[in-house]
Amino acid sequence: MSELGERLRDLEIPDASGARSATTEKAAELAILATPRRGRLRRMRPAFIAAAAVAAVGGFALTPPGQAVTDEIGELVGIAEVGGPPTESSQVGNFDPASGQIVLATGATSDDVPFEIVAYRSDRSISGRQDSTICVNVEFPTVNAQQVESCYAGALRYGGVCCSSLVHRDDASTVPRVVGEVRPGVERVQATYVASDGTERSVEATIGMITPEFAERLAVEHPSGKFIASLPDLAEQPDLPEPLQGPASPVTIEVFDSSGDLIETETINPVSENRIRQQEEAIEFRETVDERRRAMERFHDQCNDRYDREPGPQTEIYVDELKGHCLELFEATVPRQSR
Amino acid sequence: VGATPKSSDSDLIRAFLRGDAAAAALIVDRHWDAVYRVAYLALGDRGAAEEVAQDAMLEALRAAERFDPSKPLIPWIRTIAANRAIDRLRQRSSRPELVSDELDVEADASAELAAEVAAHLDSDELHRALMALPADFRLAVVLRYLLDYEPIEIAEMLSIPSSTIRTRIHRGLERLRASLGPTEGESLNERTG
Repeated sequence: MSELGERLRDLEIPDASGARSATTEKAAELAILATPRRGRLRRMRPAFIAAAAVAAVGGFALTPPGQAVTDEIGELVGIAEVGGPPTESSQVGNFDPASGQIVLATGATSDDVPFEIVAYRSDRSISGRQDSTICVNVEFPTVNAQQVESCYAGALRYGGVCCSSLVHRDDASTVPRVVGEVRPGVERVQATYVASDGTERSVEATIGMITPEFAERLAVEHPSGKFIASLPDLAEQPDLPEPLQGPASPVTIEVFDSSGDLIETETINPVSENRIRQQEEAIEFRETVDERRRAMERFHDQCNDRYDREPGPQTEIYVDELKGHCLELFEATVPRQSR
Repeated sequence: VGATPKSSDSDLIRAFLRGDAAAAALIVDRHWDAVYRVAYLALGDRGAAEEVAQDAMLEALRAAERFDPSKPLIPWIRTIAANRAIDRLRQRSSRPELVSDELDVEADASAELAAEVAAHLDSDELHRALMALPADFRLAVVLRYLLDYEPIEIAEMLSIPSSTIRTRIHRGLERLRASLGPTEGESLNERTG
């Protein structure tokens, strides 16, 4: 580095400790909320599902083990026609009214709550890009439940299946369900899990896909599909806080092509002890960040402005009296590991 | 093994990707000063610099999976900060300083000028003079000397000719030197005595 570079590196610049603390906190939250990578457990809050399911289009309805109930589901629901508009207009995620809305699939959860999978164009920015994208809602028009939205900006690049996540339970259905994304060419999806009686169960799903016709109507370059499926009687981990609730045993998602060949498998694993410990540490860390921020505010309120005064006999005495107190306050603003 | 202040950057990134909040905080603590410095010196505005530094840190963490752990982390984050600072300057409505007469600047001439500035301006003078520079000049000087980017690299970042960058750097250094106040013909040695 040149001499001028070193001078610039050593130049005294305004303090930004407030922004630093805020950034530290946001960074910690990023870690807490970081989308787990493929095959890991997805957390189950609906808001998180929206963020985690990055690229979905389409819909499924899970069925009891071994039953092919695709047709039954269509008869059960019948609340909207595939290819037509949804029962209620989608209003999530900067919906672009000019784009139209297309029902990709209809179905029902295992406790008979009908849903519609609706694709529409959104103006929302994905990864900093300002162009529009396609979003898909899982809508439950017969109950006042939160819509689950996911959006994607391009092709599903992850193979046959991606980003499966488990909705533990929400206002729409009391039965856990799994959702995820599949790419064109996937004809069949099967989820296998362990029920509360210890038996292994497999459920079939009907895939909702953006067909070439739908793709043209939505101006989508890279269609893909989405699945959603109920897991009745899923054996779950007991006594965990809501963000960590999940299956007691792995849930395996298998996708097959039209020849019946297995294309890919994805697994949702139970929350590990390590994950639980990290969550607890994260909560504890967030509390220490809050403490530091409050200490910083107290330091600025009670000390900083006084030190900024022009020195004089009165001020000197006052500062001396405050010095111990202020040092204590300042100490509390320093990150624990730096002390 | 959890993240500790002694963990390497690559270990912290790996821990962050596992969801370790303490690792995220350690990354910010470790690199905040460098990132904020880039933003502040490039923008000359504390508030904007704080926002840019925060954006850069969080953007780096969001993109952590793309980070190559065999390489040092800080140049990567500083590059993100520099790009965000450039974006911020582009958003400002003020017209850029016109550099109508591009100079045929020899690299050595700018290097000598930079050495003069470094040798003769005290910290307060350097700070004031840098903040007084037109934004485009200040950005070029900061990217060149604080981040050690070559003019051709800066030109690519800004999508403008490298000759323009060399001119901005040289003009910027000239203005920094001018803040010393020597009259025409007076040498710096005479002034500083």
